[in-house]
Amino acid sequence: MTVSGKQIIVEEGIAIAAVNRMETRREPIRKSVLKHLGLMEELFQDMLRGEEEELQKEARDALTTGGKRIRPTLAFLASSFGDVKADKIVPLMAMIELMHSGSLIHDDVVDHAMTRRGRPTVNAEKGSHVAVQVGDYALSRSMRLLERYKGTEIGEALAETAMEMCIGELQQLRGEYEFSVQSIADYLTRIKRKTAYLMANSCYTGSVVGELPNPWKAALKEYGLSFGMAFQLCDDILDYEGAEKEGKPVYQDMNRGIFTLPLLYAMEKELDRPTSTLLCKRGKSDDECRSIVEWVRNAGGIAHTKALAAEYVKKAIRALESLPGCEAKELLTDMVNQYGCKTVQKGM
Amino acid sequence: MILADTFLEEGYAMAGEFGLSVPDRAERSHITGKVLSAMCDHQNAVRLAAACEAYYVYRKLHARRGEGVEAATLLGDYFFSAFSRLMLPFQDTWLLDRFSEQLRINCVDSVKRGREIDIEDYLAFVGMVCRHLNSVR
Repeated sequence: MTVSGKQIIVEEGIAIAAVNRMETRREPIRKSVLKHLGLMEELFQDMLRGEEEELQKEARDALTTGGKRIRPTLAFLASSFGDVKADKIVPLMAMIELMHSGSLIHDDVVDHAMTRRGRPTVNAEKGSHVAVQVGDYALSRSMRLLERYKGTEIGEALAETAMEMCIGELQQLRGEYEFSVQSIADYLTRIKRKTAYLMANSCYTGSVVGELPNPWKAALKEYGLSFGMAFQLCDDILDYEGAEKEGKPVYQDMNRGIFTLPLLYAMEKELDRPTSTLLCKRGKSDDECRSIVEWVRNAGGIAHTKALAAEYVKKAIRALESLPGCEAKELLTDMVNQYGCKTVQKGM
Repeated sequence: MILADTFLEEGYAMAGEFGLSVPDRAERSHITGKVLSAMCDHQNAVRLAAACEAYYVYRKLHARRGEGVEAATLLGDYFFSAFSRLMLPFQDTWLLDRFSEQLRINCVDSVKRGREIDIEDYLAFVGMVCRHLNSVR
């Protein structure tokens, strides 16, 4: 993809895919999203220019390779309901993406992940200590952008989101292999914190920049929250559905003792002692993982999770109903539909 | 000083749950004491004291290597987000720039020189922050 003649490296992720699908139908908004994502990439390049080559290179690699750019796209589209200039929205898009990328680099340390988006993680290449500092370096760059939004609710919304994300991840870490702290209710709270709040506040802060009326801000925040819930539910299904082609290794959650909805639902339906022992076993073989997947599928765990994800997709679309019809609204609908349908319809 | 700690209670409770060592109250009180004595009549002095304390604990947690690095990374991020929230009322560009630069330097020092945040250097930085805030009141 090129913007202003410059090569922009963006994965054919859901945001871009949804944008590209619109090519023949809604050219102006498609061009506008791509232009603003391009400006965001240019801002990253400027921000990461400096003397500390190692951190800078790692941060740039982590930022420019393969991100789906869903969150900045959400912020941009939300702001598009108003009349907003690039210099107002692009720093917010960059700040949100930096926050997200920094948290992914840190998640890879926590998960001991060796690859992300088909490439070695910073953690795998440089070790956990450098990875932690690279994530922090991204945060230090993000902080500098915050000053542009003095006097708005943006700082508060993003700081609160960051805290919720940390608590969600800490809850997940604390719950590993612990049946007692992994109920369905806990799981839903956890995914809201670790994923949905950032998507909700990407929409919300975009709507603040667009100076939208409060009911529109609330509708867009609700859309982002429901999209985020659907997004995480679909991501958790991938752990069970042989999704290595999606760039996510399978059985990762299961092998870390993280119980997601497909499994939690199956556990509520029919958990016997041998299965319970197997679930708590560390270092499961692929055959053992496959047998758990089969058990989860037979107990209806995957179908139930898909049904819930589909509900959140519908809820996200319903949240947009009160907003005026425009291309941004169409694209937001396309994005949640495309992502939800891609996972939910597979195998049903 | 105890007041400043109350902003961060949840974080310290989580540190206890994960068995992570954080700077003890005596060490933390050097930071909060520095802020409170320099800005005793500033309306946000306690918040600033807690923010400076949160930043220090965050850097200490992210200096950890080896066992427990997973929880230390996440809890460090928690203290950083607490720091960010506590800084919001100040709405001061200079302050944001200084902390952003301090963080950049801390990250570079950590990776390139294996040098982590040091209490004496940090207290000097905190003193500079207090002088600035007193001067712009």
